[in-house]
Amino acid sequence: MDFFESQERAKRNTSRLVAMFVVALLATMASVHVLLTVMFAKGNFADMRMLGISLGSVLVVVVIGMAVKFAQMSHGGRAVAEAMGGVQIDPGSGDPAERRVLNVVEEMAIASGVPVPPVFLIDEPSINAFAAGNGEQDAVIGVTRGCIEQLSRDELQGVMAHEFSHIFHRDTRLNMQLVAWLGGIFAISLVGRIIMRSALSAGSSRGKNDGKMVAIAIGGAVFLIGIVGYFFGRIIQSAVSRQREYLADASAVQYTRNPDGIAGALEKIAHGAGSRIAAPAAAEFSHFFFANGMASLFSTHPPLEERIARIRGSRMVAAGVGSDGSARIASTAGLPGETAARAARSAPAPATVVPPVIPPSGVTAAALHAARAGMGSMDAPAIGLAGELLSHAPAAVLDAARNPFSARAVVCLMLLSSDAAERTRQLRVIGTNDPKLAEATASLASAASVSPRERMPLLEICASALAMLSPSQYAQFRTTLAQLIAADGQVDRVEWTVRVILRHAVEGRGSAPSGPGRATMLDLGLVVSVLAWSGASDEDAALRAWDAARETEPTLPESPDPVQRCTLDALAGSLGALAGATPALKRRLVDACVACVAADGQTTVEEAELLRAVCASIDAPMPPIRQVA
Amino acid sequence: MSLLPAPTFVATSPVVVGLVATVTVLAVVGIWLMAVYNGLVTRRVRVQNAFSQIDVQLRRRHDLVPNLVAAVKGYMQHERETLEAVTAARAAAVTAQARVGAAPGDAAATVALANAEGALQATLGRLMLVMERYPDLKASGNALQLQEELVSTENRIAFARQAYNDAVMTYNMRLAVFPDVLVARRLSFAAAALFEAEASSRALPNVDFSAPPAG
Repeated sequence: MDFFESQERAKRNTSRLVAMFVVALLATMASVHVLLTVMFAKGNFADMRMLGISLGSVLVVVVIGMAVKFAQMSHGGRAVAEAMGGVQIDPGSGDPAERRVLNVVEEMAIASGVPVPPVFLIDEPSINAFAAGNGEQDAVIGVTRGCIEQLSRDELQGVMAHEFSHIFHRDTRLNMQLVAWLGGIFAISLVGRIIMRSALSAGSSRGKNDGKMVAIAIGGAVFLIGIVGYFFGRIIQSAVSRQREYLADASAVQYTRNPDGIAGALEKIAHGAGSRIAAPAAAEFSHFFFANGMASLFSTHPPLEERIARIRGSRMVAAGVGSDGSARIASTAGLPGETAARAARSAPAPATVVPPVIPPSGVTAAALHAARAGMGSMDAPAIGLAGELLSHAPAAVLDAARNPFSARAVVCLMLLSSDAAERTRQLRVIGTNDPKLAEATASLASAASVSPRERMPLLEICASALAMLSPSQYAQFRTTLAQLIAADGQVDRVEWTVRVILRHAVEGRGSAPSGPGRATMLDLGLVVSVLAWSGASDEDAALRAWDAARETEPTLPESPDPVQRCTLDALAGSLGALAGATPALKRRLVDACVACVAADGQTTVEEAELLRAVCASIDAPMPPIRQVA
Repeated sequence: MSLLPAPTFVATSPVVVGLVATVTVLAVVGIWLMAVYNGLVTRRVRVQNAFSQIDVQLRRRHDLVPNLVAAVKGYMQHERETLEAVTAARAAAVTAQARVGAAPGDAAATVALANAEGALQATLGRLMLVMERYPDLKASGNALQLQEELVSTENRIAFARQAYNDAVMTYNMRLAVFPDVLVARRLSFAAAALFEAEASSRALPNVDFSAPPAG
């Protein structure tokens, strides 16, 4: 199944969720009506005014409860992690257990082309983890202390691959919406509890017991109604969640080609460590977790034994047996046939071969198309390659990229010219805004440099550290960056890439993408135009690239937008609109872009990076482009 | 249904309507209070998250200082006082940090830590000044590298402190404005302290030389 198809399916799941929600809402209203009628209308269910009162009151409470939750969820995955009391692990942490989980997450983010998500630690001894967020850009990963201390690296990798699968398949987005919808229904029982509690505590001093009893009775009645809503809500929660867990388990095996990792983690949970989360907010978010966060009648996760058995049953695929084994993973995991096809496509490459990285000369069209096919996933060689890249990158730069202060210097370092005189001028531009930053950049530049193949991975790591800047700090940095980019009077491809990635991964973090329906064909045309112009040496080449894009996407106008219109701001505006577009439109954009970039057969590394940056900013991550031998 | 007795005025009597209306209003107020409470909690967590950024860098500084002292000791026989002042200031800072770690978010402990760190920074500044006078030290790559790392850590601390203070300001502002102030008072949300050394401690490092040097 294609990345975009899986997103469309997630959307369909959302409509199913809404339908179930409406049923639950109707059931709650009916029970309110029954209760009120029995209490006040002597069982006359035909009393229309009574019906109006019960429907109205339930609706008001539910709508407000939902509004509050939707507002909270629009702050992205961070809001979920914070609600559970998670504390972000410092990206530069030196603690061995913390370092290991950060490395695993960094490697997977690089292997799939998403900004490195911040990792939050929940101080619990049990083994559990979660992913939350509306898309890649605001995604976070949460882990318990038990998870990072008790699991082996392979097991941790399996768990993290499971969580990344939730992000790619938009289960996290569905989960966020679920919290908001259910927030409305859960609000009723919450109100009942509040009324009862305040009646119990406030009434004790005063002598009037009558009013107190009435208040307690009302509170109890509302609470009971809330329980009905809660019951339906939990059924929805578990129904939506359980099937997604099998898919995520199967994807984790597919990404890592190692069923022992994730199965081992599940076995450790089953044999003693447990997965209980004590934080009071855990119930609301129980469907986010890797394994059941709480003992409950309405389990959000399938039984551990069942999950382990299905994963172990898929061992053959992981060994690279081929399409037979792939078919088996699908049937044992109870997945639709598309997944089998996808698994089959990725299975044939033996796990041991590490494909060579792109040579500096350029990228073949085949490599581009391979990366396009692998969107929204990762594979074991790519993870291995990312790990290798990180272990060979200059330590000074890597360390700097993981700290908010010096990550800015790393970004500036990427933009420094190789020409010494130009470099001095650039440093002076930085210095007029921020002397300390200029100093840090200069000292970093004297110690190390960033090779082209390290640029994107480092940028993805920097984005994670930069997201920790306070708003005023980021605003200052953005001004400096804008002046640095404008200093030489032109915007080159690396500058485009840096700006596009940061705008998406840092400025977009903590908020959901803007609503759908804003993107137009003009936006699509502008993005393709930028790629056509930036990759071409002359006007003819640009027009040829444009024509190639038009063959894929016939609705594009006959000629590209004039080069003067292709500014950073215009591109950012269009990408922002497209980020909220439907998966179908995103797919058309990506295919047109790939065709445009691949047109002349001489794609440079910088062009490929800009393409990946464009894809990343519409939340359609493209894995690193590798030459396939 | 028409066979049922006609009078349904009980259901729509002012008492019932009033009761349902009251419950609904209570519900709305309750949910709204929840939202305010959640907002406050989120901002408090953000302050803690921002503090952990300072904490990490302070730890790094505390790890670097003994190494630097050890590296320069051989060259600076006549600067025992300066070195002891650095060591003592570091020990005080480590203690203050442990106290904040035991009671995260405690305003008094945070201020004490800021002061201790201010003192450490001042003594370190003096040490760096003194180091300028020893040309031999310039030849020692190790000491220079440690010095460079300390300066870089200092920059990171200053930056993290700025981010932390921004978060504190946002949180404290929320505590003070209506209507949040009602919820905050009732549920005893305490204002967070800015991470800033008091002027007195920044001016002159207050170190007790009689204390045995800790390390």
